[in-house]
Amino acid sequence: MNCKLASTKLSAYIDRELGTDEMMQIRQHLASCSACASEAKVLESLKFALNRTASVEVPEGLEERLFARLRMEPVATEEPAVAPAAKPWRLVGAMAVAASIGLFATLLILRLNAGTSPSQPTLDQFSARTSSDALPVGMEIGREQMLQSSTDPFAGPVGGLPAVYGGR
Amino acid sequence: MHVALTQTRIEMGKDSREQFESLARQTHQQAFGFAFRLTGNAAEAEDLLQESFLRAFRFFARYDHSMPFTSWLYRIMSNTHIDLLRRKGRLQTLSLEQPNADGSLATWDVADDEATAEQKLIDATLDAPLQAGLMNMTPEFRQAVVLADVEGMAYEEIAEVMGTSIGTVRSRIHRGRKQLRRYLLKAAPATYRSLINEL
Ligand SMILES: [Zn+2]
Repeated sequence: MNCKLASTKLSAYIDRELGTDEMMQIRQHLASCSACASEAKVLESLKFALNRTASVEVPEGLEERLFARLRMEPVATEEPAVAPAAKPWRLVGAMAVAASIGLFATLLILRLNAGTSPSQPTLDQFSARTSSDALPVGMEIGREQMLQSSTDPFAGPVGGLPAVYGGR
Repeated sequence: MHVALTQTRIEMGKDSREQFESLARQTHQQAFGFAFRLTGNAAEAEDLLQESFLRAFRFFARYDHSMPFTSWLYRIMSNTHIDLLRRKGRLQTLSLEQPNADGSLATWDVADDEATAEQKLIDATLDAPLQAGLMNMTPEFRQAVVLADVEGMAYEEIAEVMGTSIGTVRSRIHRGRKQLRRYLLKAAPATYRSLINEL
């Protein structure tokens, strides 16, 4: 096994989440490759450090506040209606995503236009705002999550749950 | 007949509320810990916790009792976490380059247990940079790493919680740990060295 392949499996290796053959192949590689061996050691150290983090203390009154809020909520007396098929929801989700991306772009352009300079934003201005290291990555993740989320039955916005609640 | 039906429903409703509250009592402390690791501060963790339990309550009829309640709850929490980030417009602003997502790095007390005072002190000082490192991860990577390394879940269970494949879980954990390493190396090199030399 070469370094490139081995290095992608190091986390799964230290988590013991590879099959027997792969575990053995990685172990053999680490025995003969000090670079990958030290990489594995670093990842394992991080895992142990996270594992040892102190348990978080629950704030005072949290339990009371939680249960008070839950008691304000009527019991769902019927099985919430499940979306009959994934497709229509996906379509709605995709349309919503498209609309929100469009809206975002429009807002961005409006904001650029609303700047102190009355001139149209130049391409340079635009890319200056969007080509920072962080933004494109973040936007891409945002879109992926929007899609994932809108197709997930648990993730719907609170106001839009398709269920029948209360005394009906 | 109509009345009888309504009564049955009310009784069922009462039952399920009692059942839910009992599960919530058993799990809310652990769930708060998860929420805290995801959000990095107590106020946002409580928001996430409350919103997630509300959603769980509303969808409780759909809960499959053969699945551990915490797995189901964590799935809702993971989705709610992303929803809340999106609502606050945080998804775009989180990046490796920022020292902290919102400047509100958590302060929290170390829970009382049998650990010695000295050990607690070490844990507490390690905790802050590690939590800051978590906050600088891509949110899904953070979820996967917290589920694996803090909550101690296996990949299969994480895949179920995150509603994704084991391959994706594997990749998220690996990339998350690499983000954590990059952050510590840059923002807390002394902590990083002490962690690495411990093994
Ligand atoms: Zn190698």
